[in-house]
Amino acid sequence: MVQGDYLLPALSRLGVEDQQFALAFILRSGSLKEMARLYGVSYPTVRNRLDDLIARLRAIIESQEKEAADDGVGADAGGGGGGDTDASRDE
Amino acid sequence: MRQETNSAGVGREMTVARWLFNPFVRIGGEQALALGLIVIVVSGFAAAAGGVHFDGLLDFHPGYSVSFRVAVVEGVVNWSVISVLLVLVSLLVAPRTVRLVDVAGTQALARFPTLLAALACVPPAVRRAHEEMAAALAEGRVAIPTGAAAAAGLFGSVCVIWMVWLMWKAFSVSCNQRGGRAVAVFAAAVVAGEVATKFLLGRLLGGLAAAGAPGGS
Repeated sequence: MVQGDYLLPALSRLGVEDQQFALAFILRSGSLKEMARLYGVSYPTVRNRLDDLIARLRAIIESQEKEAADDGVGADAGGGGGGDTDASRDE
Repeated sequence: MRQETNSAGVGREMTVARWLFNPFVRIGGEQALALGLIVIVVSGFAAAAGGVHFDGLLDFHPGYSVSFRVAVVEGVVNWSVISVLLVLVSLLVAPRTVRLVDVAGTQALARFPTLLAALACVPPAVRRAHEEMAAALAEGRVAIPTGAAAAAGLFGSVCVIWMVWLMWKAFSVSCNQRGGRAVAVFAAAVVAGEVATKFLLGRLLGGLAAAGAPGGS
């Protein structure tokens, strides 16, 4: 048994709908066009949904980094490899 | 797999109100552009048939003799000017990945109400009444509109307001802009667009007088 104070990965601190959206996005190799097809909405609608998700993830990561700095907990608060999803967009 | 079929927070429920006031949730990009260009061309036919000038971004002037070519030029200039302006302001206030095809496509589709406004002026009695009013105004006289002409004019004005709302939603969705600052930026772009389209169409077509005198002359 391991005990201690650990920060949850950023992705798992997202709401259920955000996690479902992120999962669907990853499963479609980051294709917004396929995401738009999946949800039956326009490309800009799904891109805006992704922008909102990115903003929430950034806020979580920033707050985790602040918490980590304050508490002296391990600094990898971003959930490891919390890379910028901007890079995976369709263009 | 449940996660694959639920909405995941993507608002996709399309009610009648949503189709009327924010169809861009469902229609964007190339699809909106294709539909929007069809709307502009068909609106050109209707404007020529109804004798309506859209000689500015927000202008609606029935009672003139308008050729199909002039009507389409007006539609294309109005659409392209506001599209370029909104792309520019979007890049200024929130530089993110904005696709020109989304802005141009949704702005073209947002001009759908102009088609209905022009169609309302097609019935001969309405067109004749509007032409008499426009001729009277040109001579400095006051003309009392008939009931049908007044109703068509009022409907046209409502359509222009509806179009502005659609233009706002198109901007909001295609550039992911929300809040007070976005409204202010959009309003500024619309005012600049009105000035720019009046100027450009005046240069291109020589104003209403050259494009078709009142009374069908």
